[in-house]
Amino acid sequence: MSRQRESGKGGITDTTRRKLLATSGAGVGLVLAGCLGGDGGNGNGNGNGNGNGNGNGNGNGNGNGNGNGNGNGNDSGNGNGNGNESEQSPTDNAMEALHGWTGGDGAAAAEEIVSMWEERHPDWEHQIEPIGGDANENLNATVARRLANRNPPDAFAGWPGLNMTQYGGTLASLSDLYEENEWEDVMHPKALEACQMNDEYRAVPLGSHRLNNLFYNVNVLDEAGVSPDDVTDWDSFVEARQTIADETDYLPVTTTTIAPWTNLQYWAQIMLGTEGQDAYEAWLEGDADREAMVSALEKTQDFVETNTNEDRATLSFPEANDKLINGEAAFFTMGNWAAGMYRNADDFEYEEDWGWLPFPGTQDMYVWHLDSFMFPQDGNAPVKSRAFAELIGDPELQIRFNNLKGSIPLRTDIDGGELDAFLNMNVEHLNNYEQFPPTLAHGLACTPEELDQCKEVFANNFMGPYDAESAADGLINIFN
Amino acid sequence: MADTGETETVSGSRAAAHRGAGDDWHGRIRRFSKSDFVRGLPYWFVPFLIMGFGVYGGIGWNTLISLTDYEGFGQPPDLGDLDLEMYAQALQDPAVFVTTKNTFVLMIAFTTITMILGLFLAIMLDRDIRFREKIQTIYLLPMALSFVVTAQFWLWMYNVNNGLVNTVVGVFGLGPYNWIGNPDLVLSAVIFALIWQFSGYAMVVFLAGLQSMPDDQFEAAKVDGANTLEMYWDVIIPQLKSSSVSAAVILMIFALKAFTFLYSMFGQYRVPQATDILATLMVREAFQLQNWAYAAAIASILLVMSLAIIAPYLYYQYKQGSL
Repeated sequence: MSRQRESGKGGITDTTRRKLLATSGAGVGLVLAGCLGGDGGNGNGNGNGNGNGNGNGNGNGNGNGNGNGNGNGNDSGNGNGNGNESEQSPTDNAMEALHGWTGGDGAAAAEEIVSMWEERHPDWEHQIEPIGGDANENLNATVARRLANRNPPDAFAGWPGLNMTQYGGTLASLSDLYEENEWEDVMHPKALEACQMNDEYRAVPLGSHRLNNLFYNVNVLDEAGVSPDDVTDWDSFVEARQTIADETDYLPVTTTTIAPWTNLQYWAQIMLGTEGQDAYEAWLEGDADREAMVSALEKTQDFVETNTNEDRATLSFPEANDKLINGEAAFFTMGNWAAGMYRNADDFEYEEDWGWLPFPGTQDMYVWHLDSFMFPQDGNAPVKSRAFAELIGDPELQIRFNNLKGSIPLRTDIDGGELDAFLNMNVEHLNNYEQFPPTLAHGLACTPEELDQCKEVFANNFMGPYDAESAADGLINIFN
Repeated sequence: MADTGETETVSGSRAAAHRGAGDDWHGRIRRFSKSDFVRGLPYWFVPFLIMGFGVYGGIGWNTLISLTDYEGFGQPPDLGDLDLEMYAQALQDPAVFVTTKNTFVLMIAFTTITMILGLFLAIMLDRDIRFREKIQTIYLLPMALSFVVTAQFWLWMYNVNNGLVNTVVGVFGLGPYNWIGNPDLVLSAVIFALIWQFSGYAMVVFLAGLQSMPDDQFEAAKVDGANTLEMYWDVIIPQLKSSSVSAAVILMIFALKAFTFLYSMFGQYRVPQATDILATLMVREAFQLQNWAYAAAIASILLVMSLAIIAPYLYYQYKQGSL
């Protein structure tokens, strides 16, 4: 009896089975190669980046390695790191710069950066991209994730000062760039102070917004018979609001409470306006006056709830601002990037249709906010990123960008004739005032962890039911 | 021939014996390599590998991170120092307590109401009305929409001043409600929107269950003098047990994933406190605050909750013999 081969009975033949096994083995092999190859690629990439980006000497390489690996080598790593970069030739990688200006005036201004880069470096590829969201939240989260994955962009926009301390050990030093371009003589001293960390310059200032603004719609105030010059402090502001509510059908104040950062911002302005800069800074230093804080919080609740738009919990700030542009509301407070919307609106002119007041009680203060670009150490295109840094500090860029963005350039040597009237007024204030309380909701007054805690306190205690006492306790605890 | 056969057999058997002894493991390998397990290898191995790396590898890595102290982006996680500190912190955190409570409220309210509504719709449709197929499709359509889309337009519909919901409610004379702004109402508003999106799914599951029931049961019940209500309540609904269990499990898992809806609706990591669920807390801790280890601990807690829902279902199926 011949034994039939099992495989001939009904299953696949030997050859087919071998083919299948071979193909599946190849497939598995490819999968494994892909996984391991990916990791290896990253490892290699970092290795090369560190090696090339940070100079040829042993000292530089070691310094940087320690810096990234243990977080101990901050000073040595950063200090030595980038002196030799300018001698390199540019890599083939695109220069990747991330910023948070996705819409409105910010997007138009960011386009200026792109077109100037393309004018000056037409054969260098760039990847200048916006990442959206409220007060840079998404941008910060993305940058943090990229840094954690050791795959940082070449440049990213952000707020220097205390906000920059979270990036300690990862940013490149730009002091030699400052020296080359003599920026120390030209940039506003507060900007220079804010852009320093660990004794080196690590950011290039781009534009400053001011936070203590109260915009108003001229026509609505006229109809109600309220004169803007009368709104000088909190009580006269409350009176003005009441008059508008009584005399007209318009909303006295338009607000947005969809996110904690706006409530935080309102509270900061009211604290400065009613309790003064000393009380504000005392809180930041841990020596808060609880009564003052509770009183300011109660006024904030009044500001947000009395005579305002009912749908504030679902509006974003541009939508709230639209109500002022449409003539439905009288007052709106926001950083002066909101004025960009007025500029872009048709037939809505400064001083004819809209006006500006310092937030009641904050005359003579310029609540200080600064946008800048920062440059991580192990980006993929070090030479191009230095060129980008130089571009940001360039006077022509500062004029073109800030005119569209509505922020104030930080170079003191810019011809006032190139900026519009509203900006010029702010430039004057920037150069002449002496009180510069740092902005809370935009990163200059405290570190990012403290800012997050402030936002949590507001989100938990001051955004639905408004509980001034526990919010005050929460805020005081953050800085104690 | 017998001789040769015998000789052959003898020698053959000796040879076979010799072959049998020495080739025993060889034979086993050959049989093994012809078994279904190996012959199916090219079909199941690659997906198994992908699942292994992607899902179970991810779960394992997440659990490992939750045992470290990893946060921020300055340094890689310290895998040498593993402890349960993050879990201890999570169990003491008031935010975790509030969000767990909200998660349970969302899960239970959403699941029960969706199932009841789905059952009601299925019973209606089962009674053979005109255009049944089209109506079925219309009820099921919301499930095809992305959470991002539905969140955005529910946000518009819930607008206090000119939203559709307040307009409709206003027709009955009820005042405009601040659905999103009022912390007492916002969770109900979100649950309602989710119910709208998933009741079609529940309807389809129950409809399939209803239509698979044999007709003679209805007739027998009628003969026995049951009226419609009794028929449904005592005869039909108890038979939908397995459909309702499977629908409930799917709906509860979707409720745990309501993060997408909430994030799209509010456009940011921080959602109003009344709607803060474990998923939103986890994402906030991870991506806004960069507390990777803490967020990983919360994610593990979420995973345990999901398993606590599915495990009884799997056991029930196993007992039924269908697993």
